[in-house]
Amino acid sequence: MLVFVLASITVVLGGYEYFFDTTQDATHVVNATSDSSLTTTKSLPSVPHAITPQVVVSEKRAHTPLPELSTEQLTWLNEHGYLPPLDDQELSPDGLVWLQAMAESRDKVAIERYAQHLALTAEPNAQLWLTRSAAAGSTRALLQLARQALVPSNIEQADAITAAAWLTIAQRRGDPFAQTMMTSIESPPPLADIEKRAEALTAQLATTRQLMGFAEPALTNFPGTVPARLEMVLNTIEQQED
Amino acid sequence: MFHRLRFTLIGCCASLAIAAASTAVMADQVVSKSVKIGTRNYSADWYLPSQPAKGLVYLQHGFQRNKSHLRELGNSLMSQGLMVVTVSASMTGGASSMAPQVATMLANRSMTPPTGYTLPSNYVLAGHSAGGLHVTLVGADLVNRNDSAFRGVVLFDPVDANNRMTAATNSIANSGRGVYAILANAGSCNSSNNAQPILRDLSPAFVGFKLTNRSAHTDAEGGSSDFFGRLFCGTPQAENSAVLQAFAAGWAIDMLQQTSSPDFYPGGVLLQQLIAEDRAELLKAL
Repeated sequence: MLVFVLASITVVLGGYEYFFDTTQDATHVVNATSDSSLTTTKSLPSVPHAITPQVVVSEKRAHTPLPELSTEQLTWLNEHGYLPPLDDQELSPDGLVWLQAMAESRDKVAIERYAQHLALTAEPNAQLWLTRSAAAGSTRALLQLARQALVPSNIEQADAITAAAWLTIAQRRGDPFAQTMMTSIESPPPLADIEKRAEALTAQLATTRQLMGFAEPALTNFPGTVPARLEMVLNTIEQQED
Repeated sequence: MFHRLRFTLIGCCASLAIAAASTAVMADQVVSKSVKIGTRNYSADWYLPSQPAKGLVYLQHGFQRNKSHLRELGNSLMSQGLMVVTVSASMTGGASSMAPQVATMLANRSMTPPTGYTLPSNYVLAGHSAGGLHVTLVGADLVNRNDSAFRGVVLFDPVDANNRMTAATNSIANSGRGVYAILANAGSCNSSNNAQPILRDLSPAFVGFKLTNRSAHTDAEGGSSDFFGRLFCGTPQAENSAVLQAFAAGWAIDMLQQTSSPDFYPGGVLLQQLIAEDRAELLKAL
């Protein structure tokens, strides 16, 4: 799958690369829907040129030689937000307006970026957008939801059952980091409680997915031996940065 | 795999470091050697400068983090002649029950550095995030014990829980000891800067500043942060981490040696430059 960059949006996002799926229309018009938060009408600029995932990676990590990965694998990494690393706090106020508009147009990648931005900046509607992002297939959103359950607004009122349930869903979707994060939960709750909560959250995601008009995400769409290779990629980056 | 590799590397480095300590040529080095706090042994890293240390920094990581995430900061402090010890421990809620045990250990000088090194006489406490809250609780306990070797605290984007930080920081500041902090922009990981009003309202005229140019909660971790740190708390910016490291060392050394390096305070070149370039704002002005 080809991945495109919106160069014109990059300008208003302050140099922040922005990707979305080419199966969507290049010009997004946000329509009013049954969802009360999706009411803005705004035209966004078209895509001026294409760029491959490899170029994106090499631009962001010019000094980080990556192990050989297929285009498909790199695309997966990009689509799931693992590469390049996000730095949503670079968003300018104008950039945020555009990103929000893109998210409201139901662009899946925009939803993911917007949700992660809201989560980082502790916006009150972060949970809503993270849930939408998870419904759209983002496993990063699931990790972020788990983290929010674990560390809601202070560092004492953790909801370990909900956190573990989100991570269980992420594991079922093949996220390689969910298990690592699961082990960081102090005093893990009973498995039966986690399963029950996971069922409820899965149903919630299904409802959200239906409202947003998204297709069911694949359980795992990372091909072959990719988790091990993903870890190798991240190890390489970590070692470069240490 | 990565963590196993890292632990293996740390183990190898520790062995090499111990071997190096026994040789005639001393160099800055990091040695892993546990410390006993209360009845438990905690995994710890010691940052040992080659020259006689200017003092000890007890440096505490944040919630769901560990000592390895402060490796870059520890190295930076060590390069300025400070001995640093970092301990991996659960920092949930600022680890309030552990705080008096740490205070006892520090007050009794019951920590033993690696062979060949002497524990410095004076020390400061430093902490990141929930670790910041933790060291203020330790510090307040040490004030109550009237330990004159305890000189103050340096806090990196500290996060309060259950309103414990107000009394603790006031206790330390009102005892005449230093309380300095560097905050990041508001975000979920610092509970929307919940420590900011507490620090701003302390009695000293200067208590530090907030980094305002793309700062992140992970700036204290810098290059030692990891995937989860970046995912949940933002990507550290190298320029902000460098500022944080320079001021942390400057303030710590001043507190330990009872000096005052103008660069690190209002009117000083470094701080004024940060403010002039819109990279920082004084906490008292917020």
